[in-house]
Amino acid sequence: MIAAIAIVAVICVAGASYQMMAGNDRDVLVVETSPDFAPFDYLIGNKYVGIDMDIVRAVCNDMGYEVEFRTNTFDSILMSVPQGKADIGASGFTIDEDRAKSVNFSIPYAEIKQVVVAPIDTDIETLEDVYGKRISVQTGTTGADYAETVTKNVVFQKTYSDVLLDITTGKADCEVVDSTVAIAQVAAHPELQVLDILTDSPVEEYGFIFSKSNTELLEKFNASLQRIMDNGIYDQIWDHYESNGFSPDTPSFYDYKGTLVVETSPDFPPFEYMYGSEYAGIDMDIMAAIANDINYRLVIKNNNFDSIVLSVSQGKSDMGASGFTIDEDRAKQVLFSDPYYSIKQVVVVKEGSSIQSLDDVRGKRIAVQTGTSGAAYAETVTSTTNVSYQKMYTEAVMDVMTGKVDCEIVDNTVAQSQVAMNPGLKVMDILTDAETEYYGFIFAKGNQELCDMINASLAKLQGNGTIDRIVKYYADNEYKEVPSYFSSQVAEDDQDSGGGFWADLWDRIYNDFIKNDRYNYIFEGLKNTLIIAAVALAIGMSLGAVVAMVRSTHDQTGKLRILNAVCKVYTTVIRGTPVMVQLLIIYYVIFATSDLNSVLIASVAFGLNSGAYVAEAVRGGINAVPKGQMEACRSLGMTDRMAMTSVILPQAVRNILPSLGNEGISLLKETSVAGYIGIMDLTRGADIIRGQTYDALLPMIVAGAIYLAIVLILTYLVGRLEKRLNNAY
Amino acid sequence: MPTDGDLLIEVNNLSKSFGDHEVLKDISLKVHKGEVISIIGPSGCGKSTFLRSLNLLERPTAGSVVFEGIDITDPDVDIDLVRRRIGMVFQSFNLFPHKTVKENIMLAPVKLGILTEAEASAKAEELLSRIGLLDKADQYPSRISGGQQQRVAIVRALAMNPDVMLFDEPTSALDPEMVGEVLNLIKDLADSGMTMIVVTHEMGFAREISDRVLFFNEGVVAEENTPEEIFGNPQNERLKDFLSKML
Repeated sequence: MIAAIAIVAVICVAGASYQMMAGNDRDVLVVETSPDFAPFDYLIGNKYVGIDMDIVRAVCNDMGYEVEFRTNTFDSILMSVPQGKADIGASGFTIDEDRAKSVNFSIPYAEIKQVVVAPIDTDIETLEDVYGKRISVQTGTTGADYAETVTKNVVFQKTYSDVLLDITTGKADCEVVDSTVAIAQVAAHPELQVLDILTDSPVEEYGFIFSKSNTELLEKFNASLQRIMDNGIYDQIWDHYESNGFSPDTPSFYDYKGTLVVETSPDFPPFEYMYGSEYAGIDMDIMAAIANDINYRLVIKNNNFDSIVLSVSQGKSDMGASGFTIDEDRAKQVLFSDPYYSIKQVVVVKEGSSIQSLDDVRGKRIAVQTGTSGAAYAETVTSTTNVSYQKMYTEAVMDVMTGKVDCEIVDNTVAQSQVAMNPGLKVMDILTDAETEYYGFIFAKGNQELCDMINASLAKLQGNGTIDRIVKYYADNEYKEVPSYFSSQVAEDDQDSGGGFWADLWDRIYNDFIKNDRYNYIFEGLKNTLIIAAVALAIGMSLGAVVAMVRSTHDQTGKLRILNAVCKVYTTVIRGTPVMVQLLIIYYVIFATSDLNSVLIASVAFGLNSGAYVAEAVRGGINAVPKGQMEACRSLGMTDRMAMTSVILPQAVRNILPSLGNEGISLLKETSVAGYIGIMDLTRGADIIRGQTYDALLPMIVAGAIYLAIVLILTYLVGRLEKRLNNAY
Repeated sequence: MPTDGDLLIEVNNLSKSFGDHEVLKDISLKVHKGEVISIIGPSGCGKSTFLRSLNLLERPTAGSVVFEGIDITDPDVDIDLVRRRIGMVFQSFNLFPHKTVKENIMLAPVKLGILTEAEASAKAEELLSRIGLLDKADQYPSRISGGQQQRVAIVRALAMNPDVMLFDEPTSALDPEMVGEVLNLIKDLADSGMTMIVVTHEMGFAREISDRVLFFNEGVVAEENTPEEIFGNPQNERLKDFLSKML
């Protein structure tokens, strides 16, 4: 539910015993698939799962290879395999003559036939009924070819999810698809049924595809595939999926050993950044490769750079991967892995800057990211009043570009990325006294076991060239923000436009909100903001009412001495400290060792805060009811409680309502600090867009406008309610 | 002075202090069934405090109040049960502003489980028609005049079928033209044999309805006698002085 927790595409290898034919230096086979073809190819979390995937794992394990899965579209795999971009295509390819002209097929591993999938209430009963119907298919499949022989009304879709959408929305009458896939689709969509009526369709066979030029690999592959068919592994895989009804939530036959929760601050390209909704960068890809290697499910959590050390040391996550320089101070709080990358500090300036040497930097105004080695270095060459401490690198770059500072001090790799992304900046390698630093991953003290496991995997990936390939990929792309190495997405070029104000504005709107589905940051953020505000308001109202009753009862009768004292301390402390401090204390101290959802923790924190203000408002409202009301009740023989519930509180509500409305409004706005504990609320969502697009104006204006709109709606509703109550008597 | 009825309230050596300030000093009084007692005296003499002590809206510092044989100052006594039998009418009416006239009358009997909703409704209508306000039954208190509000407050107390009615300056907050209607209602009540204790500044009224008049001064009962003697032949100097100012 938390958008701040995204899951990165990870790959997984058979966890079973390896044939140790090449020690750690096992070669890697790149396997491309289109993971929307359950039960053969699909994603769970982001693990590649399905009959194809598990057979490939079993075969490659048998051959002594590692597997690296990547996503591509079904059509494109047929091109990238012959081009040598991938070694194997595994995506339910039917063996046919046309394809055999451009690729080689493995021996068949599945037999299927074409069937019809249609709604339960369809009028299709026989093959004849299918003629002339609107049929939806996935482009390039056998089903598509077949459909074209029976109707002119074929809807070609890129993915099976779009095909199913066509049927469920009535845009198509039915689908023609492989029988096994059909069973899986119907398992997930009870409103659909499978009709085995295509009597003229031949039985087909699936094969994996290979490049024509790599017959050696094909032969080895076929030998291993035959071996796992003979030794029973192949049957076990099929049985595993069949016993789950080929349902698309069947886990892999080779399931994960566990989950690895990794925190990162994705504002540090090329090491970590968001590409659309996907985590990308050198650190992220190394983590994906490690998770693959140790067969763990990888979960990435977003947090502020300077909060990760604390969060990891408290065990809120398993480890941190965010370009951490190995140094003594941090080593006191956390364990470091072996180094995986080395860097040194450099200076980033505007073109034409007068800064030429180390001496020129002394005393200058310098932008840095808080808590980085660059920040520590900057403090040695200029006074701290001249240092602009920014939460995010994007802000530091903005400082340089707008001339708020003379330069920025930053790691050389990051500097190259910044310069590649921002024309007009350049890198100066002039900090001759800066020492070479090493990046390491961090773990909680005492988590030596995980640290050792990651170190072993790291050594293996360094040995077999995986890490070099990842780093080279980013270097080849000039350290720009490109999709992660493990996804085959093509980076979209930022188009330049010189089309005047409106065209520019449209470009900015497109870039800020539409490109890479960035509007999701706003929607997800708004959702979290509303959840936190609503839950906090409910907690605050209940708590506030109870506290107010205790205090009023004490004021009037002198009872409940101890409870009253507790309530008094509560309201005094809460109203006397900033909500931000309360939030940090509750998250990092009180719930330090809890793995509760952070949105829930934030709701509790804001609820506790709100409760104190509500309590005072309610108490004021109760006190404002004339004393005679209580006396009249008591003189009639009514008890304290009866008087409170039937006479005092109903009148108090009218007094309190305006202040409760105001409390709701300020609560909504106060939730904007929730980003400090890593929650993507509306403010943080807009801020993430700003970090990606370097455009502060539009995201912030949109966020502000949404807050304003909600406040206006709330004000209107409270006003209506007040009016109704006031008119009542 | 009809002292032949059963003893209803017996106040023994009652004192009340607010901090160092002693408001009531060692007051004793016997009230019999059917008796109408008026309490007069200058402002701050303690007459309201005394009245409020009788149903424990003020808790006495010393002494006891025995109501129908029960010492209600005993902490073990459920005072809520006793208060049901002691009606009270306040200077500022204290109607519930968020309830209609009828709901004001019905609230306590229904909440306390004495009457069902239907019985309470019938009772309220009967009481309202007795005071000629049945047409105001569904109005909120803010929509009717002060005199009407105080009459509703009186029948609200009557709806509990009390054994005694306490009136705490029932006409002091009223515009002069509305005083009459309220006094007439209280007088009707007196004529019907209700036991009543009335704190009032309406001397003519006190003289007309009372069996006995108490003159309070500085926390003590300075003079106690029949209305004829109190108003016709006052003995106490302060009383003479007070009456000369009032009349």
